[in-house]
Amino acid sequence: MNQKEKWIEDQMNAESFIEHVPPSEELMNRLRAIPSQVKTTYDTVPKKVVWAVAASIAILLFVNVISFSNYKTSNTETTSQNEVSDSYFSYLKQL
Amino acid sequence: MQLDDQSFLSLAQKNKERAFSYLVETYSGLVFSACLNTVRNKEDAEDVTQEVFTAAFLSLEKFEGKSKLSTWLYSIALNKSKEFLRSKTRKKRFGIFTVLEKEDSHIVPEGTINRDHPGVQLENKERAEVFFKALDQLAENQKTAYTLHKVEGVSYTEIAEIMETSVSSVESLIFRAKKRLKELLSDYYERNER
Repeated sequence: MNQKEKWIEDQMNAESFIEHVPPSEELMNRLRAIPSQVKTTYDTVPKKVVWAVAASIAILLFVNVISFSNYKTSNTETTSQNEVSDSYFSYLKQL
Repeated sequence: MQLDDQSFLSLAQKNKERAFSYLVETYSGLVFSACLNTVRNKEDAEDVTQEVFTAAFLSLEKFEGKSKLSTWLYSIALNKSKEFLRSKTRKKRFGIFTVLEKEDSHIVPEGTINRDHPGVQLENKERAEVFFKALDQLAENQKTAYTLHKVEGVSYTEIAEIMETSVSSVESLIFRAKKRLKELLSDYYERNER
């Protein structure tokens, strides 16, 4: 083994120059405190709020349905009015 | 008190806090070491270790005992360490955005991460620096497999489980890592030592 190969082998022998470092006592204390700091349960939304949101959605849907049906009715009326005027003006066009 | 993984499982179901305490006392060294060898800085490794154990505490119920406890913790440690390095690189890149615009965007700028491995003695600092620089040139999975095997002393079978691959893939990764490291170190020697 020449000098270069020996140098490469030494360099690659990582375990010889990287020593094991134990965790500090400060870190151990931080780790031991995890269960008291971490919240595993979640706050639930109050039932009143849930019902209020559900009622708001229901009202919103109801208003939308009403406005849509009104829009449809007014649209049908407009179409029939348009048909009368169209037939009148088509007569004029022919002239 | 040394528990096998099945006894640990039943302890975790009965008393989560005690099971976690066992986990901390038994595996904190292993997890800290894995984090340290990836982020190579004591303060950062401590922060990542805390994140690892927090994640472990939150998902203790999900551990089914299919893999060894150490394997499970190694996987979390590796993922958290890589996540940490990615986020740190991203933050620094944003700060020096104008400089990097002209350069190849995948290159991590020099000095982005403060790497001062506490396990390397002063007389070995230079040697370690050369080794780490060469190691950082390897593909991500080659680097992980090589570090786990050579620095952490993890077996091929366990590395395969941690990296969710086959033993033969691990063998191949380590073989290629060694070959590439030799090439890189040889180049370095040619340029500097002659």
